[in-house]
Amino acid sequence: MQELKRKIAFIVCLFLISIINLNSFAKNDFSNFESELIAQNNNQKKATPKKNNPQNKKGQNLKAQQAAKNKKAAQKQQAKKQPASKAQNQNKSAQQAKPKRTKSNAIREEIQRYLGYESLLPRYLTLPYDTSLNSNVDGYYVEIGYFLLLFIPLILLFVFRRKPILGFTVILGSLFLLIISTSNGVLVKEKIQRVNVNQENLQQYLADYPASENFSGNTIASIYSVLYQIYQPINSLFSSISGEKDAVTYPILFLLFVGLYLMVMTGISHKSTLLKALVSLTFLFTFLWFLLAVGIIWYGYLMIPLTILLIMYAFRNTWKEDWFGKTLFSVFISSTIIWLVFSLVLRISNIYQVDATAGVHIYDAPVVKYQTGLYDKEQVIQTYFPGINNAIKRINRDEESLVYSVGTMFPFFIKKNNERILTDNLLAYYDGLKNRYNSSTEIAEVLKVNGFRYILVNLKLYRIDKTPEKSVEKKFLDFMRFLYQNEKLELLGTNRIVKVTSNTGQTSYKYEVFGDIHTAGTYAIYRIK
Amino acid sequence: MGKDFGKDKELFFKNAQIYPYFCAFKSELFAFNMKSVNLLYKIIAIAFALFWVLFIMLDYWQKHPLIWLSFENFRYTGLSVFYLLTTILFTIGVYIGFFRKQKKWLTWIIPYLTMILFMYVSMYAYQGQISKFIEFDTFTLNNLGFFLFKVLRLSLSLLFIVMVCRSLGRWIFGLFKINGQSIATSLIQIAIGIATLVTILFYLGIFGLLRDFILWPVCLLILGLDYKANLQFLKNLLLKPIVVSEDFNWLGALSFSLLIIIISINFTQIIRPIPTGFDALTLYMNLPSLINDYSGLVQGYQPYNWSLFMSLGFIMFYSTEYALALSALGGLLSLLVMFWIGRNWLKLNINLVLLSLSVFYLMPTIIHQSSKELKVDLGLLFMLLCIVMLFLVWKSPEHENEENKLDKADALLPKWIEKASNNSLIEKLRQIAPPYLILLGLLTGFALGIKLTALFIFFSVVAAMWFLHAGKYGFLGIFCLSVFAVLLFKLDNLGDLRQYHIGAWWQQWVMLAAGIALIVYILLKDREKSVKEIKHGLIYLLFTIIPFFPWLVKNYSETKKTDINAILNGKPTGPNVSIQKMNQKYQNYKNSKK
Repeated sequence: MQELKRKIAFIVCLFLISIINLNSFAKNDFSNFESELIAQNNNQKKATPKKNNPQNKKGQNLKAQQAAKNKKAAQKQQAKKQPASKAQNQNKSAQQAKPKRTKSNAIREEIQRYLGYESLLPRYLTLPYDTSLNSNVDGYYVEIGYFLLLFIPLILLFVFRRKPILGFTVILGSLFLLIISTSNGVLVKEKIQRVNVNQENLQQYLADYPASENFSGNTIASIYSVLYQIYQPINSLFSSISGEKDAVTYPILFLLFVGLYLMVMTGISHKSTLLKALVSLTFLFTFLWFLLAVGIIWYGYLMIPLTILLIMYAFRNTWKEDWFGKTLFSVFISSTIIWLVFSLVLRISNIYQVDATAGVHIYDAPVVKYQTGLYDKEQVIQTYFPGINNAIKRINRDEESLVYSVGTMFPFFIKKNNERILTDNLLAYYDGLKNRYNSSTEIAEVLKVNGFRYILVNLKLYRIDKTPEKSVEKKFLDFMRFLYQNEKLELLGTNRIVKVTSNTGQTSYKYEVFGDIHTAGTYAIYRIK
Repeated sequence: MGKDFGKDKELFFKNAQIYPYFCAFKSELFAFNMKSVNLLYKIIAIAFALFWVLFIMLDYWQKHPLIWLSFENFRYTGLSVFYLLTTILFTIGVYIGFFRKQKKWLTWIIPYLTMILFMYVSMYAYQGQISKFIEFDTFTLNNLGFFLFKVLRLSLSLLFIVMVCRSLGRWIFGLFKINGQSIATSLIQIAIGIATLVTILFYLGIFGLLRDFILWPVCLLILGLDYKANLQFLKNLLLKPIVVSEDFNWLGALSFSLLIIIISINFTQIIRPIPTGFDALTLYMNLPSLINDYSGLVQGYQPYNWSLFMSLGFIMFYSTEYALALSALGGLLSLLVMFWIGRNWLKLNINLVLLSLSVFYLMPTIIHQSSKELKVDLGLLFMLLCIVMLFLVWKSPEHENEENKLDKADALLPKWIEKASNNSLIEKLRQIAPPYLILLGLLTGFALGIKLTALFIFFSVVAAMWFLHAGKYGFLGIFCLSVFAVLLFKLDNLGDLRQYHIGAWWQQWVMLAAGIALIVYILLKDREKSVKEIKHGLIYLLFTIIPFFPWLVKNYSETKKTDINAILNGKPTGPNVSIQKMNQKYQNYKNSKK
C-alpha cells in the first residue's frame, strides 16, 4: 500500500514537473520557419528596445500590468464587434493594428499575407479557395492550380451517390465555401491590379468590363455580385461571433473537421481498412497544415500528391458506371487535360515581365550561354546583376566589415555572410534606429561606428506588402528617404537606370537610384563613408 | 420517405388486418421514392458539378492573367508541334503493339535519351526566339558537345549519389533483416540511405572534415563494399526492358510525354552557376555553400539535414549545379514513390497513375521548386512520402508474414552485414520493436531535421496507427490529443496567430479531456491491443527523437541555453548587435570625440 502511495506521489510530482516544463516550453514559439523569418526574428529581438520588449517584464510595476490587462479586455470587446467583409475588415484591422514595432508586426507583414487579413473565422474558412485561386498571394511559387478544389467536391458527390442527403450536404457546403470565399476575395483588373470584393468595387468592375468586352470577367463579377448579396446575412453572423480575435474559430474548425471526417468515412465505409487509414492520415495532415501553416503551401506539400492519388482512385471506375458516373468522368478528364495544357503553356511562356520579349523566356539567355560554354560564372552574375561584381568583390575583400542588408538576395555571394550580414528584410531594425535618431547622416554614422560598411537594398521590397495598412511600403519609403542625398553614403552599384537631361537638353542614361527612372532595377549597394 | 409513417399509424394498419398490403405499399412507395430521390440527386449533382467546374475555371482564368498572357504571347508553336508529334508517335507505337511485345531495346535509356533530345530541341527553339531580341549566335558543335558533357556528368553524379545512398539503405535493411526486393523497399532504402549519409556528414562536419578528399573515398568505399548489388542495379537500369502495361493508352502516353517534357525543361534550367530565388539565395543554397566554405557544420539555423545533403554538390563536385540537382532529386524520387503508391498499392490503372504524376509535377509551385527556386521542400516531400509508403508496406496484410525474415533472394548483401545482423544488441532491438516501426521513427526524425513542419506527419502516422487499431474513435482520440499538443506547445504561433484565439487555453484542456476519454474507452474495450498500440506510439516517438537529438545538442552547445528557441535555432546568425548596443557604442564614440 505504501509503495502504491509512493508511486502515486511520484507520478503526481512527475506530472507537475512536466507541466511546469511544458509551460516554459509553450512560452516560446515556432515562428522561425523560413529564411526571412529566421533572420527577422533574430534581428528584431536585438532591434526591439528593452523598454518595449514584452519579455522584459521585471521592471514593470503592477499598475502598468493592470493597465495592460484592461487594455486587452477592451480590445477583446472591440474585436468582437468587428464586421467581417474583407474590405471593411482590412480597414478596421489596419486601424487596430497600429504599427507597434514588434516581432508580430513583421510576422503579420511577411507570414500572415498567405492567410489573408479578413476577420478570423473567414480567414480560415476561405483558405481552400484562397490557396487554389491565389486570392491572397499570387505567383508561381504558391500556385497549385484548381485541380484539388475542383475535384474534391465532385468526387464526394460521386461517393455519396447512394446517400443523397450527404450528397446534398456536400453541395450546400461547397456553395457556402464559394459564397464566403468570393465575398472575401479579390478580382483582377487591368491584368495586374487586384481589387477587394465589395459592393462598390463590383459595380465599378461591371461598369468597366461589359460582357461584350470581357465576357468571362463580366460573368464572374455578376456571379460575385449575387454571391455577395447572399453573403450579407452570413457576414452579420460572422461579425457577431468573430472578428480580429475570437473564441469560436478553433471550436468551429475542430467540429467541421470531425463532421467532414465522419462524413467521408461513412462514404468509404466499404473500402479496405488500410485505405481508410491512408485517408485518415491525409485528413489529419491536411488539417494540421490548415491549422498551423498559415496557408503556406509548401509546408503541406505531402497533401497534394496523396490527394491527387486518392482523387484518381475515386474516379478510376466512374466511367464504368451509369450516365452520372460517365458524365463526372468526362468532366474530370477534360478539366484535367485543360489544366495540364494551362500549366505547360505557363511554363513554356514563363512570363515574369510583360514587355516585347514576353513569352520568349523558356530559359534564361545567360544560363544557356553558360551551359554551352559561352559564359563563365562571373559573366552570368554580371548579366543578372549588372555592376554587382565589383561591389561584391569589394565587400568580400573587406572581410571584417559588417553588411546591412534590406531584403536583398545577395548573402549567397558574400563570404562569411552568416557572421557579417545583419538582415533587416522588413525594416523593423531600421525603424528602431529611425525612432532614436533624427537625421539620416546620424543613422549612417551610428551604423559606421558599429562596424557596418555596406548597405544592400532590394529596390522592389515594397512589392511584398499585402497588409491593408501598407506598413512595409511606408517603412520602405522612409528608408529610401534615408538613402536619398545622404552625404555619408556612396553608391557602389545598382542596376537601376535613370534618365539625365543636361542643360543643353541632351538626354543620357546612367546607373543611379534617384532621378527620372528609366529602368526600375532591383538592387543598390552603398558604402558608408 | 417511407419511414415517415409514425409508429401509431403502423399499429393502426396492423390492427386493421391490412398489414401485408400496407407493407407492400410501403416498400413500393419507399423504392419509388428512393429511385426518384436518387434521380433528382443525380440531376442536381450534375448541374452543380457543371456550375462548379465552369465557375472555378472561369474564376481561375480571371485571377491568373499570367495564363492568358502566356497564351497571348505564346511563341513556341514549332516546339509544341514537335512535342505533340513525339507524343502521337509514342501513342501510335503503343497502339500498334510495339511496346507490348516488350522489345529488349526499350530500357530506361530510351526515355533518358528522349529527355536529352527534348533538351536540345527546346534550346534550339529558345535560341531561335531570343536571337530576335539580343545577339545570340547559333550553337556550334562544340557548344552542343559541351552541353551534352554537362548533362551526362550531372546525371552520372546524381546516379552515383543515389547508388551510395541505396547501398547504405540496403545495409540498414539487412541489419534489421527486412525483405529488400521490391520497388517500394528500394525507394525506402534510398531514403534511409540519404538519412544515414547525412548522419555521417553531420559527424564529419563537427570536426570540420567535410572535404572532398575525405568524402570521395568514403563514398567509393561504400559503393565498392556493395559492388555486386550496385552492378545488378546498373544492369537493371540500363539493360532490363521496361514492362509496359496492357491497358496503356493515349492518356498514359500523353501524361508520360508531359512528364518527360517538363523534366527535360527543369533539368536544363538547373544547370546554372548560381541559384535564383530569394529563399534559395539567402538560405537554402546559401547554407550548403557555407558548409563547403567552413568544411563543417555552420553555427546557427534550424536543423538542416537536406542542406547537408545538398552540400555534397559543392564539396564533391565543386559546383552549384550539383547542389541544385540534389535539391531537385527529391522531386524526381517523389514521383517514383507516387508511382508505387498509385500503381502497386492503390492498384490504379497505369494511365491514371501517369496522369497523377503529370498533374503533380506540372503544378507551377512544384516546377518552381524543381527548377527556379530550389529549396528543401521536395527533399522533405520525398521523405514524407517514404514514411507513408513504409507505413503502408508495414501494415499491408501481405507483409504480415514476411516481417523479420531476410529474403533469400537478397544474396548480394555483404557477408559482414549478415554477421552484424546477428549481433545481440540488434537482435534485442528487433525483439523490442518491429523493425519497420524503428525505421518509421528514424525517417520521421530525419524529416524533422529537414523542416519542423514534418511534425505534422508524426501526429498523422500515430492517428493512422490508432485508426487501424480502433477505427474512427481511435483516430479521433489521437486527433484530440494532437490538437491538445499543438495548442499546449503553441505550435499555432507560426504566424503569430495564437494572440487572436482568445479561448485556446481552455480549448486545449477540452481536447485533452476528449482525447483521454476516447482512448480510455478504447482501452476498456480491448486492453491488450491498446497497450500494444501505446507502446508502439512511444517507440515511434523515441526513434523519432534519436536522429533529431544531435541537432539539439549542437544548438545547445552553441548557445548554452535550454529554451526552445535556442535549442531549435542555435546561435543567432549575423553580427551580435542590438539597438541598445549600437546606441551605447555610438554614445561612447561621441564622448570620446568631445
